[in-house]
Amino acid sequence: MIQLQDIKKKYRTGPGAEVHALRGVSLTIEQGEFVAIMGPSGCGKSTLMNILGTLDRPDSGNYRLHGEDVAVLGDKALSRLRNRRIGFVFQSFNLLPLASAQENVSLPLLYAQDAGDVEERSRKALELVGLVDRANHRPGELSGGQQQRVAIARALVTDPEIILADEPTGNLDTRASAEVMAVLEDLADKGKTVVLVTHEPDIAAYTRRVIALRDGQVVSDVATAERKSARQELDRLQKEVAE
Amino acid sequence: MNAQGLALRIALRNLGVRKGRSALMMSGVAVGIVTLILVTAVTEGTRKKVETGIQSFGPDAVMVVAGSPQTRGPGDERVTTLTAQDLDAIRSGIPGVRIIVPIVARSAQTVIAGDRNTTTTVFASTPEIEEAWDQHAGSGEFLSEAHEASLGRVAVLGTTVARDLFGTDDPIGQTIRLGDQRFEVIGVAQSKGTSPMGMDMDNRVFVPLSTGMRRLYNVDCYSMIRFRLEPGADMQRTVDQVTALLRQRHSIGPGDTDDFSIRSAISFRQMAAKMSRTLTVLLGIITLVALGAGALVLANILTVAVSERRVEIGVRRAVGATRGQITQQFLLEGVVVTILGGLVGIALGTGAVVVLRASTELPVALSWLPFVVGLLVTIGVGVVASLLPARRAASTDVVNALRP
Repeated sequence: MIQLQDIKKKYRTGPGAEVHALRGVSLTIEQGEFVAIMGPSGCGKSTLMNILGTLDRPDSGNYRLHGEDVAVLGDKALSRLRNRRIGFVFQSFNLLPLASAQENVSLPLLYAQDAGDVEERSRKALELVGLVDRANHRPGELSGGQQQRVAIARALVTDPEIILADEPTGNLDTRASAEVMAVLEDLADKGKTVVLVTHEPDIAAYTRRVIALRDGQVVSDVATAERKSARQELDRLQKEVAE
Repeated sequence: MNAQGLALRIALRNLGVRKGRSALMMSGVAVGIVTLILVTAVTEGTRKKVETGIQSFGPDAVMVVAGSPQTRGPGDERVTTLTAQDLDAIRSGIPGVRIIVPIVARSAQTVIAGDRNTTTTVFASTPEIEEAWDQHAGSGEFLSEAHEASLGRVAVLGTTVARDLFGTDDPIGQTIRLGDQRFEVIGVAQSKGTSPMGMDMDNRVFVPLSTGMRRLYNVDCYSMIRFRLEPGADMQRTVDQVTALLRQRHSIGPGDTDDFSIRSAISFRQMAAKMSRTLTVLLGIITLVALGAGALVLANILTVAVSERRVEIGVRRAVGATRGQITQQFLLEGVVVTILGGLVGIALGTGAVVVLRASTELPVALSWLPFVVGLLVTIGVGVVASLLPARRAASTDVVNALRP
């Protein structure tokens, strides 16, 4: 469903200074895959994520989503595509501080063409991440893990095929990370395509495929060696606390 | 619940959180709207007052007054050039003149009844003044040809004079004294209210013209000549013709000042426009400056707000907002803030008008006009001030905005 062909992207960082963020990346991700993109900082993984999310355009190369060439789409079509097909999860949650959890979750529906019952759908999305009892709380009244789960509910609310998560556990402790990864794991099990960027091997271990980037190029693309279950890890951590 | 609805709710919460800044955003617009309302209230009030005055003066009436155009009140007593021959010349030479009367008037006259006295203006005129000035007797009778022929010592009192001299007693049949003459009160005139110049048109005593000219003041010139126009006659042209005729008759050379002035609905309207112009220009400048400053402040603060809310903009773009929808959102927020400021301005301005009307003589009138104009101007200022910040918001670099 995601096909990248020789994607290149460079940034101008100053007069005459350029950074080659991506130097020809080609990869294919199928529906329902749970993929981690790994690499040291500056390897181009965030740039790759932004291009996957259509927030950024490559300088050259071809990006097809469901066989459709994304490069020809204008602002309106891209906005609509992001709204319907892609859910974003960010490292710093990026919730609106003055909006309640439910209002934050409903945000994508407000830009949807056929939103249906906004209240009902945002409540269901909160249910999926187990936070229905926090619907009226503002982000400031929630823990980091809870805020990230609200953000995941926001990514889910339009029922997109793809979840793109950029360092989703970067600001979270072990327990909250396991919570968030358990939710993403569930989504992948239910057939969503989940792509996450991380530099932590522990987090990548929960996925099923790890793509390693270095200096803007794919250096390895393998099935996860010792795959762990985030759900089991969470249960283990919870037992530890109980004892 | 729709996109703009939630955007609005969050925008209002934003305003609530940053009260100081919100007040600043609204204040410029509010001040502008206050002065705008005052401008329209003063203009409208002056116009209404003048129109009321014109109705009581007579919308089809023309008054030639002895003395230069600077003369106020019932003519300059030192000017003796307005004569019976002038009146005849107007009557026979100017088309469209319907009814014409001479008036000899003296202001600041003491009139005495018993142990009471008051200061008034005495009008000596022919019985036709009743029709020339709609000056009918409210009770008793008006001046007649017989009184005129016999230099009758009879007087008709304005209601103010009647009240000052006789209180609630019936003045008719009573005696008053003007100078060293005694007059019998034969009637009380209907109330005419205030003139366009702001004079009490009920503080008057009417006596026959012959009595005034020979018994009281011993003059052979008039203070004023008043006439009315036939229906359909052109007021401005008539005024021009009378002016030309009298300048010629009084041998006034080109460039010299008239020794008479002509008052009519036209001149009252011109005068009123001149009076309210200064105030209107002044308040108008304040309005423009305040609205301009308000728009600048608003645009600046919105620009700051846009850069502060880059993350929110990035998130909205990421979840599917188009550039157009981001522009709309910030335009809407700017307009909402200005409308709130405008409403504050409308409330304060209306309050100011009510206070001014209650406590001063300033001609101010409340009407629906300032509300509509105020609200439209407010929305206009809001759109203009928000346009650049909103477009800046729409062109926010999403990738950078979302970078942790």
